[in-house]
Amino acid sequence: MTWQILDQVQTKSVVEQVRSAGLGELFSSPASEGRVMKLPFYRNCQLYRLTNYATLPAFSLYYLGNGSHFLYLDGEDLAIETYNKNDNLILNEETALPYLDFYLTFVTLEVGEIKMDGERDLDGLLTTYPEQAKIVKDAERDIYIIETPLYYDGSIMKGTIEINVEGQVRIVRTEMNMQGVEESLESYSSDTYI
Amino acid sequence: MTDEDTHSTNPSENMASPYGTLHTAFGAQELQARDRFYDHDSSKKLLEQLKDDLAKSETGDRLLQVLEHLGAKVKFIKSKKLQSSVNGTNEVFLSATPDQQKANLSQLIEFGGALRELEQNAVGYGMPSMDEDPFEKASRIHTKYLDKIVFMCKIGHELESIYGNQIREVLSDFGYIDIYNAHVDNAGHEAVGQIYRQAQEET
Repeated sequence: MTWQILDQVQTKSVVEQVRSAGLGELFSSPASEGRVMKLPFYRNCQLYRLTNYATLPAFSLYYLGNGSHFLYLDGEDLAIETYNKNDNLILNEETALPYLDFYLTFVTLEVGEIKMDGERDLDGLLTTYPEQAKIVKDAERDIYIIETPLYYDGSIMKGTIEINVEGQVRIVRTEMNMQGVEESLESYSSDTYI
Repeated sequence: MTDEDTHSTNPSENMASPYGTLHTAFGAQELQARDRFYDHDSSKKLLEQLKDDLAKSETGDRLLQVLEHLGAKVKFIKSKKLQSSVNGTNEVFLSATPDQQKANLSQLIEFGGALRELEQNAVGYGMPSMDEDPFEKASRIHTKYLDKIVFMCKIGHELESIYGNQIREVLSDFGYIDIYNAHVDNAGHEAVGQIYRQAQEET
């Protein structure tokens, strides 16, 4: 997954599409730049980044978009949920980990910061996925079950996560790697999907 | 990669508007108010708290007076990533997570840094123009950045009596702990500049 830099005309077009009074002149300077990245788990939309380099350090906002319509990734899951519809989401053994990383990077969970363990790029996305990660499809329930090291609450833990066909992510269990102490996350121990 | 993943890379060829789904999801009226994608419900409350807390630092209090004097607006943008942006002497943007009800220490230090950047702009030390000499441009950008970091450290140091070791943890998360330690030890401009240059070379 690599970024492609948009030219000034394309950048301006994206800025126009996402403009609002709340954003003011945030991306109107010539020092603003747009980028787009193809995501392996979406058929018809990409990840867009608008960056204002006229501030220190640079300020970036992220969107899901199809070139003419953009939804802001504001930390909630609405934009992702919206783009997961209409047969847009491609979920399989190859895309489950990139999707999970994307989801955990851009969505704020009630329980706090949970991320897959590993090196990240400047946008916070993993550069490589954990080798220990295991992905199993439960055909009966039509879900992917992922076991992977997770960084949570300042510690590395072993996590079990389920992703259903609609792309909803559910942290099923986390347990301490070292002590083997099982620690369920209160808010996510029920059947409620995030 | 799968067979399904061979679609056109031109985004405009690919998909019908997702707003159809949005209309169903939360109504047409919501779409007209694009601001709601960005605006934070607790902006007022967060700003009041940040101002109260920043005023407990001498440097922070002075920067708040600069904000007041300039009449610049502080706008909160929903975002998972903590960041800020300053537009000239008019606007300061600060991020907050969507469900955030209470300001945190990292945000307080970030806010202080943003106000220093606002002050830099106000005294004529704004960002260089695009057509400026590249060396002059780089020098000015780094000077501005280091100055901002030092002010964040200054504010942190002045608040250490309230927040204790949390200040060091936060500045460590920002990646500024070496500069903070140098500031606290009165290491001087040259030494602080050296630490900054070394950190920039490593990133």
